[in-house]
Amino acid sequence: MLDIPLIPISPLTLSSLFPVGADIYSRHSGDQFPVLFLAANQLVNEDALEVVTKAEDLRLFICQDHCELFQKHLRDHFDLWFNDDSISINNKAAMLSEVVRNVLSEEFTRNDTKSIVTASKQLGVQVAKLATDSSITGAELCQILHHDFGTFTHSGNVAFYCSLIASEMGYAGEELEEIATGGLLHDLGKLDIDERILNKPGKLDEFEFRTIKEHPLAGFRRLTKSNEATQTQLLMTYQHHERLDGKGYPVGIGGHEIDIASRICTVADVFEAMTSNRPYRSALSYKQTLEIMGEGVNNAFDKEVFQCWSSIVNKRSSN
Amino acid sequence: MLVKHCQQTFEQLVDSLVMRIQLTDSLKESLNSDRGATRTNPFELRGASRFRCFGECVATIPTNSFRMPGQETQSIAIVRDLSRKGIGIITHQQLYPEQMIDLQLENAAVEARVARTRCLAPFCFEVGLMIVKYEPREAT
Repeated sequence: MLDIPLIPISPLTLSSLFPVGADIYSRHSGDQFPVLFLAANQLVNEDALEVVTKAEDLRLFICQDHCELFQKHLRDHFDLWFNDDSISINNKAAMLSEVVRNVLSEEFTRNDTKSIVTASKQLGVQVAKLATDSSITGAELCQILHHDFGTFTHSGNVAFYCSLIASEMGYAGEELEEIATGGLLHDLGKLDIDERILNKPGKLDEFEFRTIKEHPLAGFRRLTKSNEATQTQLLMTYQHHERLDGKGYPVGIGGHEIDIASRICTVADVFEAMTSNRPYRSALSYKQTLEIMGEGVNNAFDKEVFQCWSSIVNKRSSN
Repeated sequence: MLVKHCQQTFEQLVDSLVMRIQLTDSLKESLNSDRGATRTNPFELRGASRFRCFGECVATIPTNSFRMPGQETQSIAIVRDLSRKGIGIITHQQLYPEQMIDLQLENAAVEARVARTRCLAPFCFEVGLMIVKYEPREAT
């Protein structure tokens, strides 16, 4: 039995072209323990790859000790994969999601705002590129992404969702990249909040809630000091908890005083939070989430942005 | 004499600008009536007590500070409270954290940094500033 913590990975990150560089374990839903699926130096054959990709009850893991090797493997081959037309868009999305999650995790741990912004800008370009590819639907992307409760996982997912919404609303090129990067940076201020509060399994008391509410302000302060972020990114960080009815925070502005990129970020942020597992509750389904969010249209969320996101997610349901 | 001259300069500056703050009735009333130290609560830890006051000032965003879209460079603000380290004002526009603001008071110039902003009503924002530099104004 393995005592080392295991980290789930997407089967779509495997390739038959290069060995992964980390031992990979598999576990079927009924199994008690994971078993070795692929050794670090082995190549996965295409048949096995197809089986694991299609198997719904099979999950793949790597040891925490091998996480760095796995990340190195992904980063080393990422540009090659991303520009390779023979690799499906879903595989690219899975790889990008892993890279985003781990680069952010590494940068957030290092806690250097300038380097976080630089890394986010590089990732934002790739996220925006993926969002403009019409062959991937929003819901396919939701399926590929991880939904655990880590600030970097959340930020990565929000960036993907923001890019999809913005792309659907007609943003392209540098503007789209800016919004994708803003999505990656929007919760930067959580670095200044005590992890015990962020990960508290129970209900937050008034003091804790007030502390959490400081994160847009803290993120904005960090970004202004770094001199690297654009105005759109600053506003996405500062305003993503503002509501159209003026009952949001930190300022309490309402309506069209809230920047459009921030309104996009609000919808993406709430959807991501509700569809992810939290310490105090499990994830809600997309349908439930959209229903609940639908009640907040015109009060909390911008109607046009919400309808746009709703249509992106529902594309998958109809497919 | 000095005070008189400063007052004239200040009044000229104030006259050249339009007051655009939209005060609600309750706020108008509290501006006129509230005096003394402001109430605080256990969640607001403050280094220095704030005292209510009521006056006008001209707030300018200097060129070396960042400016967000739609922000006006110069406007009239109402001074709401003062403490040893900070100043609270009411303006018609949103000011952003870390922005540097130059305040021209009746007989002093203050350089301050925005700590936080809260919207009280449309075109009415309460802004807390940290004083960076205070200089009594000199006659020219």
